[in-house]
Amino acid sequence: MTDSFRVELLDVTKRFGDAVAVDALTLQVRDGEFFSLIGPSGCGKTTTLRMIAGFEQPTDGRIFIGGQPVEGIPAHQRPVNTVFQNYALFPHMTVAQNVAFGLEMQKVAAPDIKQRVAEALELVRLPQMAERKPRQLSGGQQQRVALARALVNRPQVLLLDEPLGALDLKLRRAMQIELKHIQSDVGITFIYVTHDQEEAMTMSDRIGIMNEGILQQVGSPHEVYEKPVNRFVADFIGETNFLPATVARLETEEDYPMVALQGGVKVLAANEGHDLQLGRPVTLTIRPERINLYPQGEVDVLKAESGLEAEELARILGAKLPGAVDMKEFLLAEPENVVLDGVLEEAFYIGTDTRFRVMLEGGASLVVRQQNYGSRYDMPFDVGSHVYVQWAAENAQILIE
Amino acid sequence: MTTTSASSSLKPSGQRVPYRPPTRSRDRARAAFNSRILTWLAIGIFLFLYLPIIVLVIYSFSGARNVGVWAGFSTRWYAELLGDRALIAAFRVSLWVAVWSTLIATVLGTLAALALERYRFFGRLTFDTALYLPIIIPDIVMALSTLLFFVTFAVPLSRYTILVTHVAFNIAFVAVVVRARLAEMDSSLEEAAADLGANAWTAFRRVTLPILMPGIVSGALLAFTLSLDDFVITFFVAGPGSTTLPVRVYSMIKFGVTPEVNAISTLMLAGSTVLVVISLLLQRR
Repeated sequence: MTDSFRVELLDVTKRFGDAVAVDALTLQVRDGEFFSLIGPSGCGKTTTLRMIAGFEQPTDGRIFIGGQPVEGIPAHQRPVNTVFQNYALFPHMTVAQNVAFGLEMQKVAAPDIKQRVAEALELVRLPQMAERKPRQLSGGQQQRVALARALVNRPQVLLLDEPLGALDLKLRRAMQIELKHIQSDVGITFIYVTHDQEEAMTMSDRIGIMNEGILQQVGSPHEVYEKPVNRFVADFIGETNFLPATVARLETEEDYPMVALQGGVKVLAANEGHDLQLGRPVTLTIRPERINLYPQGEVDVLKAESGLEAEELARILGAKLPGAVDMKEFLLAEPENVVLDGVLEEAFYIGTDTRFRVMLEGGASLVVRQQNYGSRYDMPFDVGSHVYVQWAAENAQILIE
Repeated sequence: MTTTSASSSLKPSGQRVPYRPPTRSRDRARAAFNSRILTWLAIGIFLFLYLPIIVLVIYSFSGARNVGVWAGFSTRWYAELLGDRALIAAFRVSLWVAVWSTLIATVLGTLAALALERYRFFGRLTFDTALYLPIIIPDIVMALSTLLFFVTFAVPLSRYTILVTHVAFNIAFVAVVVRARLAEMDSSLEEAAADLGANAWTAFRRVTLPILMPGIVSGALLAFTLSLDDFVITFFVAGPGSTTLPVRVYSMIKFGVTPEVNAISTLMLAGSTVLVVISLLLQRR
């Protein structure tokens, strides 16, 4: 138990009858951190939050807040506050009375209460709403009052249970940024529960991903996106391709192991500490935006129908003008590149980028995303055409089932 | 059966009812006719319900000695009421029973509603059903059974036996009204209060109780009205010297209906109406 952890859960298990809601969860949340717990509904994230708040008691394991064990301490004596999913504002009290409630419970002197309530409402930019009743406010305003009511108590930890779930998308995006700003202003540790991975990525310092009561991975948004530890995490965070494969070679010159895809196609792939044996079935995960498509065959730089200026294309391809470049040769010049033949099966233009479905040699199917830079620079690929499918070995990661 | 339905569609077209497209003017005429019928039906029902009461109220202001004879406007019978010692005494018993039974039943009924809505305990379903029995069972059964109970245990009949019986049936009505309010209340409000540092009692006093208050007050008003108006049950469990107003009115009628009865009925009607209206307004909040 180290003091730098604001909240620590050790082997915490919660059972409801026969159902295991949270299974041997161990988790440390650092001081001043914006930590998100995410997962599909029923994964145990809300139960975990409720155990920290004191609304549920763990069946097994220990919970520490600020270094102090909290078992047996009821919710009203814990140094934490919660922002509830439906806000849970007291309907018979004004906004100011709602915000003052926690301070009154702490027996803060009346003039101090008045000042701190005003400051809290200032923080959430609602000072003019103090005398309104909650039902006279919009959803976004109620959400801010709930935040002010919790923060005004200066808790050691603020727990937020899907607080933006009821807001529409635009408002939710704006509130995400605002929440993040408020958190860095007040410097209080936030534990945020959501099922929205994008929301968690936007705001969090670190994310914990849960599934079926088990904590799958904890890491920065960058870590959980770039280096998912298993198929569930790779699938839950962002969008990805899964390719079934078997381990073909453990050592190569390029320091990457080699795996055989469907149809026996062998490619290099990155391994993050998994114990590999030859012939072991694994899964490759490759993000759609990390895959590139190139036209097949010789490309005459001057006549290339790429939509690019010749100089531009030559610069990209590293070719000397005037001249022709064999695409595959060019791509394979980089030894860590994986280059496969593919056929474009479908293309969907969605504005920011175009999504392609590509059938690889050997029969595997991939989703590829190519950003649209503007018509002048976009490669005009036709459905049914043969292309080179390229990715860097480090972007294809081996997962063990 | 499928064969018959199949053959019916194969009938020669001459046997079918010829299809007439609805015309706009015909639809409009039918709608107007329907709405006229509904209006008259509504008026008829209201007359049926309220005409006797209106007649009663009008004749309470008649100066004539006989009921049903109009002899000019007079408040003579209201004045006579005030001089009727027995009637005033009965009214005071009624008020005493109503106030105390309301207070006791409101506290117990609210607690029962809280227990049933917020907690899971052994025998909850039985308790739930048993609590609502007084609403469902006929007054006469309730009256007989409580009388039998008092007789069996040799409890002398008095205003206290009336009070106990009124509390018994009022708990049910208060519990129903409070429970409806409680079911609407978001239980995370109590968690929010605890989260902000309120212990169970403070959370109840500062959050739950104020939110329930309209329900509790309207339940209490309902209980008060029911207690004040009850005749059947009270008639059975009232002892000598503990006559309530409805029982007194009943015994007056036995010697013939006088306009004085009309006057006292009008006053009771006015009082009950005010209470019920307040109760309904509070439930709407």
